[in-house]
Amino acid sequence: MRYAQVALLPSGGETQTDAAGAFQFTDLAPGEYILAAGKAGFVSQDEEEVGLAVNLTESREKVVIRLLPLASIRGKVADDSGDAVEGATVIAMASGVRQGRRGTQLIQAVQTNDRGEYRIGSLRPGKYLIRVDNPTAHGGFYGKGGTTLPSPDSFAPLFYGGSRDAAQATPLDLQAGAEARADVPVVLRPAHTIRGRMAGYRPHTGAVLQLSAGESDLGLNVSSIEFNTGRFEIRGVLDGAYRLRAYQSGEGGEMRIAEGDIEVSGKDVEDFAITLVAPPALRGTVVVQGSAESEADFWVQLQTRDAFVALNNQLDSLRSGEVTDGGFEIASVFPGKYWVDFHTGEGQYVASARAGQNDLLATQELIVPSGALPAIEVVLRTDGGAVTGTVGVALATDEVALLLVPEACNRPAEIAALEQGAFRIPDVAPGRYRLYAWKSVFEVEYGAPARLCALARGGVPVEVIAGKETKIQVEKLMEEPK
Amino acid sequence: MTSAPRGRACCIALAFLLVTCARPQAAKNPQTYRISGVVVNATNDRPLSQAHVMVSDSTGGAKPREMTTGADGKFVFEGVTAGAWTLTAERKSYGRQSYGQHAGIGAASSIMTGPDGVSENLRFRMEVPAAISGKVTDERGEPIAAAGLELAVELPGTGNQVLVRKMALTDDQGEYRLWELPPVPCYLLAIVPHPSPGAPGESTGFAPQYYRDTTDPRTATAIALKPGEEFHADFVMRRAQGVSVTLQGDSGIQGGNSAEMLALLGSGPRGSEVTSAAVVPGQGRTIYNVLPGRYKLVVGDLASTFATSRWIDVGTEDMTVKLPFSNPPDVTAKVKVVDGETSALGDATMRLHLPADAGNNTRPVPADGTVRFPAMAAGLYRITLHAPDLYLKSVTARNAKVTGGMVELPESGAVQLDIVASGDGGRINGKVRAGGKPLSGASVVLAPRKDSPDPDDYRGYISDSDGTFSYTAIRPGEYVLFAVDDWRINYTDPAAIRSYLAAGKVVKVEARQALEVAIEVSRP
Repeated sequence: MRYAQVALLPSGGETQTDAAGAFQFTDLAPGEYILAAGKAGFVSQDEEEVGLAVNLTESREKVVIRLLPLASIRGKVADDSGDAVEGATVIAMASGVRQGRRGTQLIQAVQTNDRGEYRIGSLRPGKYLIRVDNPTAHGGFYGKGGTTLPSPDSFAPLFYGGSRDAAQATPLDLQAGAEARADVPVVLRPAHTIRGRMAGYRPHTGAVLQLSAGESDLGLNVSSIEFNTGRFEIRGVLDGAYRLRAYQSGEGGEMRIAEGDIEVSGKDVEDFAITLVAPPALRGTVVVQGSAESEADFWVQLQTRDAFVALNNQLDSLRSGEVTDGGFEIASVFPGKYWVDFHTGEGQYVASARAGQNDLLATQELIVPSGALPAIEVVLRTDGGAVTGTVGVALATDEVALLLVPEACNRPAEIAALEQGAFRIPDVAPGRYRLYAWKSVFEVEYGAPARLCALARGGVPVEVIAGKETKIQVEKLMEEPK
Repeated sequence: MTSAPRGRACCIALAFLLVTCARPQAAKNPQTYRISGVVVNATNDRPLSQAHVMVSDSTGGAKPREMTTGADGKFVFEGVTAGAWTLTAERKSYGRQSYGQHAGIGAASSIMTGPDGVSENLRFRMEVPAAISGKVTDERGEPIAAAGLELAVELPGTGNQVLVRKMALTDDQGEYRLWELPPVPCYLLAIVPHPSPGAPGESTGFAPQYYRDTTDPRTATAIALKPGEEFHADFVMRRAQGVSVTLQGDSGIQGGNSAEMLALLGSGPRGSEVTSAAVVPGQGRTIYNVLPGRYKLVVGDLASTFATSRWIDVGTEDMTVKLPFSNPPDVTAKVKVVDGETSALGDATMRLHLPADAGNNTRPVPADGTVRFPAMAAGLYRITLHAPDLYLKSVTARNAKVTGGMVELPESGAVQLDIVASGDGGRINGKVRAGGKPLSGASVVLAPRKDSPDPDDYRGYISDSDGTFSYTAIRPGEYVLFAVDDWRINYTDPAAIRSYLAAGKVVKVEARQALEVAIEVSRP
């Protein structure tokens, strides 16, 4: 391969392959080296691996480094009469599981050109979903009060294959170097414009508007905001129910939010008013039961479930700080749905966590409404049990991941990894559990309560007793769930 | 209806380069008129369907009316009162264009309704936009992904005013495409982002390159796009060694946090950003990895309360630039209105402008007439006052030299400009004819009889649907008036209009005088 960069680490320097793909490093001292190669449009064979380990005792010739070509997807977005749709947003997404929860990750977003064509290049081999969103029609304020031209026709976002839903969409499975083609026909329908204003708007300061039809909606409508007044308009809105959100930073740099629900039905929406306010803090109390001298060592993590927010990397993860005087706080929590996770220090476990009627340990979900927030009440205990174990000789050198699922599926699963043939899961709430031993838990959606309850019916039964240690011997790995 | 650069209250929607100017409404006439015509493709004259046509009151008073054309391309608006109207159409693949305008750029003609108006059977010619596509590679033909392409267009009529109009990025194959471009001269710049801009480390990179094959904007080739053209422009980027640019001297930022200083290195025909580096005083002021080329060095604070710039030529060796801002010239302008109402300053703006520089030092003029331009860079600036009912009568300066509408700012010190704006200007209303018939869309030029180095002394107007034109607030004096059916004419350049001046109509404008003039279009 010609003109690839080749580096010899740590100190051998860097060179480039010639037109025949050859390279050489000379005058090297004996020792351990890592040989790494790269070229635009290519990726190393194993994405985990930094390079090829070379133990140099004498000169080595004809070392071969393999690079895989990256893949690409191109296609055309056209309407039902075959006309090109210009300015449509085309997004390549990869669906994956992170911390036991499935989510989609934006890999690349491009826009169609005047011929309706797009190209998404430099993709690692793997499965991708292609999603097409509303065209970014000519938007903008043409005069005082905005445009009067009718909104351009629009279409509802959809995935390659015609599905509206990521779960039903046809993934494109790309091999190395593949040049896939994904044409997406769309049906244009009459659309409308929402015009409105933001109270509390700070002139000449950037603001973001998001119109969303639900938590999986990316809210990619094109809005324009009159810089000096905060008046706005959003064109290309199809009939339906939406939530409009605006974000803007306040005087001190703190984020503020405005919200409103809008029903669009057959005509433009005029003078829709929303008010920017600082979102309230989420507060909670923590008590430690069963141990008078223990200080709570604890924090909460909130992860947004809103696709738009996640894509924009805003507020992806919010944490509480330290517990002081039996309370904790997360500043500026925007309304929406969150995954909620609790973490404790050594010797403690979360016995219960509630927000009003919501058992946060069971649902793992917190819905933050607009306005007043529910206080979170957390109870910690110090009498947890532990599950320890070893694996059989046959498994001792393998990677093994362990998952401990409560039989009542009323609290999050515990995970552990093998260290030198043994494992230990400390501070487990007493109760009945099912234990799984897999090569990896990467693809397991143990963080979704529905999946967790399914897992609670399989595995190996384990009883955890307060203050005691339960010992397990794992002889073989289990069949990983599909 | 429009005139640039100085007509009546002009508002410029920058995104669309649509210039509309308010014109006093004719007295309300109970009689109504009709605006009608057909939208056609300007290249083949065929009717255009699916064009959204909009009629709006040129003064912005009445609510605009709109309709969409059918297969015959026809539009009609009944019951329109007498006055001046802006006619605009928006259509897929054409963008938004106004009547008499060319591909949505530059001035447009108003539709005049009234007893002598011309508003029916109009041919609304929509210009077919052009496109540029191509490939960006290195010297060995390897594609460069994520290279930025920046297209600047020349504003018709003004000669050298350039505005950045479109941007694009190359894909993984190094290919790009820019579309919906107006048929005017364009400049194209390719920029490959440096892996570590402004910081020490890796120092080779690709120098920004103008079409074609030059790093100097002054030798860039204008691409003269024709309507509907598919132009192909490839770039072969050359690797070069980056050098360091060290800034010396005081940033001149007064008050606030002096650490909040930003130095930008820009390029582009008129200085758009290529790379930026925050420079913190006391922690070194060296910008590394600057590739050879001509750049605009911008120095300002992060809050953008001031920014000033100068062009620098970066070669193959490290260089040092002395900041021009060790006690930079602070300009205070005092605008005094004579022979008119102070309220004429209502929407007025004042601008200090370095020719061949896109930097925009435009400030609103408050009621007391005092405008501050803090921390300017030394240089020869053009002074412009935009006020619909005023003309700039005289300028005197303290601690600076004023000649021909320009002020030469020194390296340092406080400068005061005393500006006298007068409300006693004359006015000219007229009509352009071609062979006895009113001519719409002609460039009408009012030029001083004696050549002037100040482009603001030259005024242009695209004649309205009935051939009328109008200028207000004209400085008393002798002028030559002519009309020519060429929307691209650079009327601010005495050399470009020399042949028309000889055959033009000499008019003597006196204070507060209103002239009615009829002129015949000149043959080019």
